[in-house]
Amino acid sequence: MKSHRLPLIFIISVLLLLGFGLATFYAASLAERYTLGHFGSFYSYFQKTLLLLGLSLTIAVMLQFVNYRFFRYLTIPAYVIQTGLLVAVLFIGSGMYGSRRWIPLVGSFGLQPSELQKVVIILVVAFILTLPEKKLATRLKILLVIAAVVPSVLLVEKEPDLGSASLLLGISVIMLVHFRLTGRQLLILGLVLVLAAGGVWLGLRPYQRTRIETFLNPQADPLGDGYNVIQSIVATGSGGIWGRGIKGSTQAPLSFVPVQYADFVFSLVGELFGFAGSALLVLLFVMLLWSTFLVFRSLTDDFARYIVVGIGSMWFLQAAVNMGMTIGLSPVTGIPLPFISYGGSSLLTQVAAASIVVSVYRTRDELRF
Amino acid sequence: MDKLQQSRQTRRFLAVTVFFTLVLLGIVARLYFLQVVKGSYYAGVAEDNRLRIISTAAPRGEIRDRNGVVLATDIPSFDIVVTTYDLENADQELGVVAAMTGVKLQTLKDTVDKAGVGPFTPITVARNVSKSAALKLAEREPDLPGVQLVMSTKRSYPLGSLAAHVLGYTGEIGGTELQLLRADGYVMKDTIGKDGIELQYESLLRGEKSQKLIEVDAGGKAVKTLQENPAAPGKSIILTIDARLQKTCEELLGDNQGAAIMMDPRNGDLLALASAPTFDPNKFISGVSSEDWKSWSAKGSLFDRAIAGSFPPASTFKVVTGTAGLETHTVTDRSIIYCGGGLTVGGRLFKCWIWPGGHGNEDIYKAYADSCDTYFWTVARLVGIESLDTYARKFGLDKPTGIDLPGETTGFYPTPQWKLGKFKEPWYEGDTMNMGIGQGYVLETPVRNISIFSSIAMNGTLWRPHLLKASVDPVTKVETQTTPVVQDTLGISTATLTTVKKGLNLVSKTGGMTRIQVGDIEICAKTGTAETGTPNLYHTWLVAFAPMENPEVAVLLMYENSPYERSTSMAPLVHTMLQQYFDLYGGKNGIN
Repeated sequence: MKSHRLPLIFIISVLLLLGFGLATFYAASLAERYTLGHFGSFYSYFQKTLLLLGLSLTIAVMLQFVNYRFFRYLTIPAYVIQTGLLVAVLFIGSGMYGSRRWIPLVGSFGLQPSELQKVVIILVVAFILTLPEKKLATRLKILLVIAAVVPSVLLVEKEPDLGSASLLLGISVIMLVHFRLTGRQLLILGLVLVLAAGGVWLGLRPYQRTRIETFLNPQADPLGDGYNVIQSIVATGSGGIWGRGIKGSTQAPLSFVPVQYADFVFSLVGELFGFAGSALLVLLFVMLLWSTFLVFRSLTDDFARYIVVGIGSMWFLQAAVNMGMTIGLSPVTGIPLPFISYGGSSLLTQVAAASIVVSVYRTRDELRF
Repeated sequence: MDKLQQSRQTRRFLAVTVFFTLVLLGIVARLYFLQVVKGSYYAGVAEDNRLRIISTAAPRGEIRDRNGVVLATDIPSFDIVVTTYDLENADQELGVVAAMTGVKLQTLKDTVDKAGVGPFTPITVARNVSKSAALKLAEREPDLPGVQLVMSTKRSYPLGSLAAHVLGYTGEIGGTELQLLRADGYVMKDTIGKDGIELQYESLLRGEKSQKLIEVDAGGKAVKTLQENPAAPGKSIILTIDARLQKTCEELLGDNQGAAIMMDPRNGDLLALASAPTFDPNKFISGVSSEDWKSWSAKGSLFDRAIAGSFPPASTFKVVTGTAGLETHTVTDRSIIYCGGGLTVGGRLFKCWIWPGGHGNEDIYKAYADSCDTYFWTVARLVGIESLDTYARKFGLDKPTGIDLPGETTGFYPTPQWKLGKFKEPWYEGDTMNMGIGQGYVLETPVRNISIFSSIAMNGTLWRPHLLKASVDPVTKVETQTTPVVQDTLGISTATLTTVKKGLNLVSKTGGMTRIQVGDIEICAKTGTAETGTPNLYHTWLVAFAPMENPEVAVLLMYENSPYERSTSMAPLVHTMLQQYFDLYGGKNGIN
């Protein structure tokens, strides 16, 4: 087979999502100019996103020159470096609202190691699960996966970023589901997770518990987190079928909803473009996931298959949790919406992940070396 | 992995992807409900009815003296708040506010612009407006949509300047403070402690703001309150200070520069802590006039001499020199040193203060009573600078006392290395002698000096001087008492300290010092007169504690650039302090 065909539907899905994000920020900055009489912060987010997109796509193209099989050799060094960064961020990190998530770089730019860690964990789990059979028994591999994932989860939780920590755990679990587990083993895994969840609940910081309780009952705390969720629902709902457009949107430019450029970006979509726009965005994610599945189906190399499962799960989990939070279906966490939310580390990670999927597809029939 | 295994895996991922799709379609369903079914409802909420959070400052805790006399409290006042969304003509309306309150229009605009809150959050633009401005504004309020007069509180110090340096004052939070404290919930225009107890115990005194979630109509009027978290007032603070003793101390200081302290040596309770000249903290609340500011700056009124002023301790330092002599067995209480009016060392004549007379044969008791320089010069010479430094450190000259007030400084004691580094000169024997009588380079803060005498009174135990006696929960009224802390134990023998105390007791029975006596109470005291460099101008000290056997109170009076040429002239003044203490508390089995 020819090895240079591109997974076209997949690439189109990614580009449409990126374009959707840019369009949202541009429309928000126009709404802002309409209401306030001048461009405001959304315009600067638009400009910075454009710049970051250029950088991310360049890196994505460069990644195409690397055969993904080579990642096997990079996995362990990348894991060690990333773990080091996760430790470092606890000491030198900065962040908003009392957390330490960013390592400051140049100017206002910073690195958020927990973002990149998602891809690294996917590679690590894929690496462990595909180690030569003779060397490792099934059970030992599972134990090794746990040993590799749990420290990262704990470090990220310590920042504190419970959302990203749960995400790392979720991705790993979905990847394990695709390992040769029998029904009984899956059951045990599920039981262990339930027990762990109970343990985590006891160890949660008060604000984190509040967030989960708020999710279960938003009216319980209408002055705190509940307020954000209520405002976010109002903004989304007010969009109606076709959206309030540039001249009608008020909730975004008047900064009703907090961090609308990042965590609550979906409410911005809802207000500006209405049901038509938000549903379209959800369907773009559905398209992304199915095209990811198509890529997966054409693969024969196990390492590649696990990577694709991991990346697809990451996108689904982030999209579902983020959009769900905006409309009151899931707890408030700081998980960004892939390809859409403003944020350099997030954009870079997601575009790099997409590039890896393309690379895996392009080189799928080459011989192992 | 074999083919079979792989196709099973593919089926699993297919199932997972179908599950993913169903979840995402669930989100679409929810969107349909919110945006299509209830779209016009939420559009209405967004357009006409607004939710707003209104927060009001909580009353700050009171500060009271040990007997419940109120020293600082909150009194009603008026603030002006602006809700930008409701303003119809911002420039014109803020112009009216500016004209009525006398605040510059630009200042008001800046406050609104920099508030960093949404358009529906009321912003406080002016605090504590005068009654007349408030009345005028109340009349005009219907014409000024978005501008509101709200009830608030302001800090008041009912006894005026009494204990001003202890209490400190409050003020509007500053830019840098705000950046540091935003995480603790402070916002612009908030009141915060700026100095003294108000600053030290800000976290106790400050309460928790009330928050109200209200729904307002298109005109900005509140339709209903959805949720209310009432304000939690700050904790009240009970100080160790006795306002009556404090008043006496401040009256004795009068217009002079100086400090007066009364302390319970048994636990470190500060009964009075005065610094002069002083100021009226109420003026910080209403706004300090430039005249006041000039006069305060010229006199150094804001400077707390009691804890931050460093002065040569002069002859009060002889307790350290004497202790060093006795502890190192350089002298005993039976050693006799002859004072012929001076001492010639290195070809230079050091003149005792009695020169051209002489004290004759002196043992350590008589040397304290006469404050004989020749005696302590000799002891300092024999002990040597290293031992003298050791004992200066034992008495804590190199440390702050740890008093619970911001801004305490450490005195200073010189060492040969310091002198070499500073002046490129070696240490001379004359420097040791100078230090032995508390002159030269050695400096002490008044609070350190009284701590030294307290620790002698308590046979070597120094209780940390402190002002916080208790804090009171405003709701439960539960008092949390401060546990006194032992700051230091000197490690000096009781025999030595007993000898020093006997010497100090003799001081109070000699010459002009007898005027200190209160009934038949045995008093220990020491004077000090420090040269200032200006002829006939001195810093004068008098430190005392009583009764000698079971000490209850230590007192200190110090004048900077004293009105007196001799510190013994202060004996009647310190007598007044002691007399009042014993009238109020003496023989009542101590105070608690």
